[in-house]
Amino acid sequence: MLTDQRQENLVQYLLPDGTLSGRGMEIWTRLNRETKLRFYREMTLVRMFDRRAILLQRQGRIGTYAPLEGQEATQIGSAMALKEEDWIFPSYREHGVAMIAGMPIANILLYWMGRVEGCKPPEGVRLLPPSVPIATQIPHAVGAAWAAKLRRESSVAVAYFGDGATSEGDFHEACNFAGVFRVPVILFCQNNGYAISVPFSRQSASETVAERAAAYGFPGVRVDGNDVLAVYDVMTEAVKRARSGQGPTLIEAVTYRKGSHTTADDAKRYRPDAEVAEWVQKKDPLKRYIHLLRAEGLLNEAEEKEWEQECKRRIDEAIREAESRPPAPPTHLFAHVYAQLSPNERRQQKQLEQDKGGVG
Amino acid sequence: MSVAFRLPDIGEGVAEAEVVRWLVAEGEEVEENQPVIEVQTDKAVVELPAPAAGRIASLCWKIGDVVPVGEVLYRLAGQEEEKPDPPPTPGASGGDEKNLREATGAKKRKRVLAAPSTRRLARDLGVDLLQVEGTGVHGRVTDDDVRKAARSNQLLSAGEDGQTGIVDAPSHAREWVEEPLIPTRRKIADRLLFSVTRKPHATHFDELAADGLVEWRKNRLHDPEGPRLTYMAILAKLVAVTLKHHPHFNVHFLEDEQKVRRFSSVSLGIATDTPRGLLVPVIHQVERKSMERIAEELGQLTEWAREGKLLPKHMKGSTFTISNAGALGGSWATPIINPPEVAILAIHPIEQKPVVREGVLTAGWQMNVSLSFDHRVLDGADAIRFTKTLGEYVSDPGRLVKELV
Repeated sequence: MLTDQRQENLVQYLLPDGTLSGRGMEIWTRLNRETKLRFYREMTLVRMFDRRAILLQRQGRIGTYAPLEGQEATQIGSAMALKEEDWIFPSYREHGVAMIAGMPIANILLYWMGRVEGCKPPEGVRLLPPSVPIATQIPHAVGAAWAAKLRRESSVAVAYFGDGATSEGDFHEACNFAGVFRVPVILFCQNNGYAISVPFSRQSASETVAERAAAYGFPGVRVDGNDVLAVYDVMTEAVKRARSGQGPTLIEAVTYRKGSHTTADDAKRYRPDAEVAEWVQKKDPLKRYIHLLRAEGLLNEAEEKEWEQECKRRIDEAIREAESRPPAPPTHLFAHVYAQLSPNERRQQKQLEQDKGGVG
Repeated sequence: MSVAFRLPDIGEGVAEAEVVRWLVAEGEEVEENQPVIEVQTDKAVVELPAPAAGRIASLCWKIGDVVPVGEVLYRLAGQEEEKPDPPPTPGASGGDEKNLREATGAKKRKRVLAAPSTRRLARDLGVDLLQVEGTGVHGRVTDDDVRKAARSNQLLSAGEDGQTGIVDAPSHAREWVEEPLIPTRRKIADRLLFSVTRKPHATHFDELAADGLVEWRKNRLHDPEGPRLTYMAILAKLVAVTLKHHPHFNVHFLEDEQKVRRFSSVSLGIATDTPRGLLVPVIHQVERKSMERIAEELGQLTEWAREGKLLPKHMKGSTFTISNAGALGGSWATPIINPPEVAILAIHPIEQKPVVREGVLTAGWQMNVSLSFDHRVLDGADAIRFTKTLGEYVSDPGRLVKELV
């Protein structure tokens, strides 16, 4: 949670009431109209997708799903600062990042239907499959960044992870390696305050995630994750540093998930109502940005309605497309996890094929 | 033509869910994504939205039923008549298994609790764990159970070979029905087991003169305004005041740290009999609330409890519990403490009984109470002092005026 003490070092341009700070004004004038509107459009699209995905899960049409509502600004703001050549190593909640990277909505749904297509982005999109094991993707990102450095390519790599991941050995090993080899990587932590049900205060004895970067010899930045402009600016700066050979940056985007950890979780059991209300009502990333756009005369109610209709149409179409595929056969389990099956798995595969004729 | 909505796996590997309530009636028109039913898994209560617009053709289960994943919850008569069935759950199997399940009538999977090493032993000895009755904690199958089962299997087969020995019961003699505990009941079972195995219980009985209480309430009832004052609301207040005088009853015992945590405010759990089992909604800051307010909250909470609408947050944080046995009758009880609390008070019916008052045999209003306490942190003398104070308030609720600050 944002205590006053921690708030001091928080980069924030768009205040929760939808007005710009002094520095925020500066950034705002530098952005073109298209970018300004795109922040809104993408955040709306991913929020509507998210709400719909939860319904699909409750109808048994997709499997367990990890909701992102509340974290739209961290994801859209950061992903929009990347280029096509950059590598993205997401965790399981990064639907917004995936959309910006160029993953079709239908494929995102297919992932949650257990189909391998959900892991495969279209040709040329450098997006890795979501890592469900915590923090394992961080060393991967550092490795990819190191490869780019050795090959003298200009691409950067980004690892997306949550506050819980910062307690894992993988995080620290990756930080250490990134610092020593000054690789072009951005370690992007969406700190939503809870690792499933464990609050950050029980996760870490250090006040912030960002301050840990100092120990590894590179900058750490703490940004208001519900301020899309601040996230975009901080990420743009970090990407610039990485691309110009100045090494890694750790970004801690302070945010909150509106709902539960996944559809199998019940956040009401461990988060105080007042805290949820505070974040959802007062600190909503989309609400405050819409407020700004309206005040700036860039968006009116009719345009909002129209865009929401368009989002619904795109989501409906994606659902139709995803559901037109046959369900994932259980044999996929053997085809896509290990390159080579162990004797035990071969036996299980055979047994499954005998029991079910190989199809679901 | 209708669409069957099957209970999806709404958690991760959830096998079943309990019907909490239907949000629509049969025959009702619903919109796409409109919530139709509320179900409870072992983790959460969730609403399940309709997959398409249409009319509810039939609801297949009653409130309180435990439904296995994959069973039809309700049927929806569609506006469009094209799709016979919603797309199946990803990863779930299709027709074959379904037919198989229906053909064999094996509706519920039985989950066997056993350690991996025990499972291995069972495999080695050729024992089917489903057939073994577990004697361990929560019915866990132990190594001994497996060995015993293996021995009796041997005996049986030896008997067949030698045409002598044990005669198996005829397979058609199935004159029992087994029902799994619903999730709420399972939780109750766990808590009670914990309480009676960890907390040394002692129970103190006392008979309180309640003439004052009956008289006092009668006078209050003439007041036409405000909610009806129930005995329970008055007694909740009296207990809260009594707890102020006996603060060591208003505590939690922290097992791990061997500490008691004393609370400055009274949060009363009110054990309530509901169709779903015993639930304990909580009223907070009872000492600061008026009896009317308590009556109102109590009314709301018990209504929610009976309708299955109580949320976990309504049942959290009690520091002392009252069990209202009065409504159903009975004279005495040995109530089980609601952990981590250290005492529970059962209140019995207020009845007219023959009593001796100042040497004269007369009819008096009497109320029995049974107070169970955790003997590790409280003694019999404490319990006697507690019911004595309560008795003073029950015989003369007007004393409450003295508590005003």
